[in-house]
Amino acid sequence: MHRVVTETGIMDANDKLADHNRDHFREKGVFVVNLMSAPGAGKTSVLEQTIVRLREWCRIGVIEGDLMTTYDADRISALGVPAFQITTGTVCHLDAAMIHHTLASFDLDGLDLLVIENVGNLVCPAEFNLGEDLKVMVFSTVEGAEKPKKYPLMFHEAEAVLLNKTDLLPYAGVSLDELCDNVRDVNPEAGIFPVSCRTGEGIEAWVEWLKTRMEESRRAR
Amino acid sequence: MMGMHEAAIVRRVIAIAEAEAGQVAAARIGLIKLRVGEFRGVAREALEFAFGVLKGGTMAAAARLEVETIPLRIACQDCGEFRVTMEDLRLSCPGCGGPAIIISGRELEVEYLEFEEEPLIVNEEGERCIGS
Repeated sequence: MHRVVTETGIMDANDKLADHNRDHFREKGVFVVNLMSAPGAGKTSVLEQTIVRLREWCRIGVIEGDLMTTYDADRISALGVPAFQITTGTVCHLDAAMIHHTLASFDLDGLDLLVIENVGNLVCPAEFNLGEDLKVMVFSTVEGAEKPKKYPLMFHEAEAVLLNKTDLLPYAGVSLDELCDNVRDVNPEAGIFPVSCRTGEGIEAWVEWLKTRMEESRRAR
Repeated sequence: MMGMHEAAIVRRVIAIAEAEAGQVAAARIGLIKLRVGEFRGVAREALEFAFGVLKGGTMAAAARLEVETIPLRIACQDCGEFRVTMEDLRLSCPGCGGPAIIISGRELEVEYLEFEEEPLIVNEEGERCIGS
């Protein structure tokens, strides 16, 4: 028997590829958002609401991650925005290699903003950097105020947390204050945006925040 | 049950171990030692179960998996270091309420590997045994 000390980060190979993607995005001048959530929290709805408010302001492209279907990509295409579908099969998250392969067939020229909608999953996507500028999480408020404590990693990784379906709060018996406190406990720096994609409430504040964040990033380049 | 999360991690662990084993031309992998920070939300039982399933047919087929859990600790510039439990998870400074950074608990690494010289063979009864 002999022992070899490796101290190899399990995510090192992915992170290296993510850095490579990031360089590519920088070169093309594209701001990249990694949009994550559990299934059914409303990522695609948030994206639709965001696109209709941003498409006059900047040129948007979308990469959709999904296990099997193209429903989401179809919804985005219907808004006149180029959407590329990655079907991951049995893989429950996107990783940097999948994005890298996709970039071979997805033209970034002329885009200002690329949103990568991750596979619906509250756990795994948080582990995998894609080379994004910004991680955004959508959480469905009706799932319960305690979830940030139960699944802290994604809440912690996200720079902005959108608390969606606020229109359902009166029926769900969930305290928005308690939920916000729990998000802050695991991510004191997070931008927190209570929104309802159904009524449009709160979406403006989120979109303005995103625009500011994109402008900051553009100036820093 | 095998969490998808843990399965994804175990696949990468085995790939790292096999690559290292290839580098030193080892016959097989005897032990894989992981360091896993508790903030990663990785369930040890799920990790071990996934390893048991996924190691078959790889150079780690007869390997043991050892998992060290690293506690979550945060540091505040003014107040120093604190241990934070996952049961009472608050990542701002417990002293002053100001910002704190995570200094441990996010680890996810293969710390070391042990390689064996004797190959694993299958005897006439179909049992896997070590050596010839």
